[in-house]
Amino acid sequence: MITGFAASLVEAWQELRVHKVRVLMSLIGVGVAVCALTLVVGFGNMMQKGLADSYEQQGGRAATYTLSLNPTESEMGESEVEKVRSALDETADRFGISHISAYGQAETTVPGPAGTISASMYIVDPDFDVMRRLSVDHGRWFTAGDAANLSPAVVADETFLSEYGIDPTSLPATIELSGSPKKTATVIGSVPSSEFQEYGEIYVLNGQEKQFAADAYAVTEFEMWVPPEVGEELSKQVTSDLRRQLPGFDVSADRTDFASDIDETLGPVKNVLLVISILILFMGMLGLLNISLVTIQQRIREIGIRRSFGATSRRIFFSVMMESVVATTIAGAVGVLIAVLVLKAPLVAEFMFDGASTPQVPISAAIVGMLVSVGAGALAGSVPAVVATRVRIIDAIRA
Amino acid sequence: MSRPEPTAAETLLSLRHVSRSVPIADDQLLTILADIDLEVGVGEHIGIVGRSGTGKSTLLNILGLLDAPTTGDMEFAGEPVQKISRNRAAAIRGRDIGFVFQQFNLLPGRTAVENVEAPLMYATGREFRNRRRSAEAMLERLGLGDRIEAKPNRLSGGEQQRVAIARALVREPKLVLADEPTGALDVETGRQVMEILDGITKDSGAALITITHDLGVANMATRQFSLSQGCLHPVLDGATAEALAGESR
Repeated sequence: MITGFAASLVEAWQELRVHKVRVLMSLIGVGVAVCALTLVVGFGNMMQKGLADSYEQQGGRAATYTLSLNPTESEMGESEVEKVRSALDETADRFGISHISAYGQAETTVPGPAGTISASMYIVDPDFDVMRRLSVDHGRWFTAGDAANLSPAVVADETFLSEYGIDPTSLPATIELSGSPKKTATVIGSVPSSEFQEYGEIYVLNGQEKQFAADAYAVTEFEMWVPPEVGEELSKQVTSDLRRQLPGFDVSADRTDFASDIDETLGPVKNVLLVISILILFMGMLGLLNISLVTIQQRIREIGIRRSFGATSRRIFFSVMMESVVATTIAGAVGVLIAVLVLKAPLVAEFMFDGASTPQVPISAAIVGMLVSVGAGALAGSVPAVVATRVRIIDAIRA
Repeated sequence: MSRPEPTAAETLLSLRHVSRSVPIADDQLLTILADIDLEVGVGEHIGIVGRSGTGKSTLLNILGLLDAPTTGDMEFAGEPVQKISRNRAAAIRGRDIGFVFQQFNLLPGRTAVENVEAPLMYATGREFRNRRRSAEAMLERLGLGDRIEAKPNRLSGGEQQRVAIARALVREPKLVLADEPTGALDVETGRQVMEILDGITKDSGAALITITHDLGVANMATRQFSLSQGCLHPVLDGATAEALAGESR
């Protein structure tokens, strides 16, 4: 069995070597088709990944639910903040929610060495970086222990650091805060700047926001990241649990990530490109099939000779089909290689992702390309293989 | 010149009352071979002469298990083979029967060594793994050691037929069937090729059945038969023009 398979591969390779020009011509269509298909799958996945990263940075990962916890008859004072914190901790424990973070936003100013610096301030908890895919380029993100620091910790973006005159590689660094008496904060890490942000951005821990902006309101919105498949049911249970724990609060939960928008945005484009690729592949296969059928008629004598050596019908079928499979696999590999090179080309990255970080070429695209190559070879090879098995040995030898 | 037919103990191939007919128009049957009786001993050389259209190739196809008799019994190495499956026939053919054709029938585009190792593609185990070495050794034996990498279009007719002989013998078959092996060669080259074929089959202990219309080639065999109108007759005093015409018994 193994010998038969190995021998069929050797025979297929010899056949391809002997008829390389014909094989090359017949495989151009298949190679182009596989390349196109791989490009479509690759582009689609890369765009999806790029879009997903962007969406996740803006709205959280799938599935992110925003919990609004507003006292109905009073302001959010210190006691309310404490109640909310305690209720959230208990709920997170009860339902096994691993990632939960405050999410508040305020404007602030910081006295810099060359004048006042305006910044957007995000009030968050340590889980926030994972939930929003924030990558810290230099220094570090918050830890739970940072809440106890006398000098509050800050993570700032490159724009803010640049305006303040801090080199990100020299972190941690101390910055002065507005207000009297004089207070300082410690910049512990830097993150890349958002693309369309007018001001610099800083991230501070929930509960320390008033040290950066005296008029900042206590956070009333919290994000939780839960598995999408149970998100809806879990959000209902969490809401119910928080309502029980927080009488006098208006509690609501809404899904706020954009994951579902990705398919809506890319779905139609991917489908059209996929249909075009399949059509190209079909035409490539027809070309290969056509040439194979003509070729097999010219090889009748050779098939007869092989039958005289003891080749069975099954072996002839397998050998002829393997010729096609080996050929399309090689063509497919070349097609996939070209597609990967195109996908990795700096020009393409610039065009597709506008110079932002380019997602990796998905391995799934290469696998799809190779599987399609093998499948196309097997399909296109099976018809001439059947014809080959029907050759009468005696007629074939005398052909 | 002819020797007695081999005893049952030494018989490699036997045909008893074998016939072959094919349907033609109006539900008629055309009898190509009729009541053929033939016993071939191990290592024996048989020559069968006959004019074109007398059924020589049909007989060779039956002997080589490429075709099946319509009636009669046939045994190869003690195994009844008149009604075996195609796969079984292919297995016996691959292992025990070698063919030498008039037109050489080398695989185009393949080198001499690739042609000779082609039958070993259907072998298993060590025979398969050592195919290149075996093929090279066989070509050496036939005096083609320096033509191993030559393709058929670079070989003379005699060299091509020697490659074909090497290919037929590389699996050390029990029986070699040669269909007009000198038909495409000049007289001198044909004689040399036949001497090689006769000698190498003798050395390897394989039986050789040569089907030819060349009396000289037929007379190199130890026993001769003439095939005329589908009937096989022993030729006792060597193949002659009369035997070829089917007039001599």
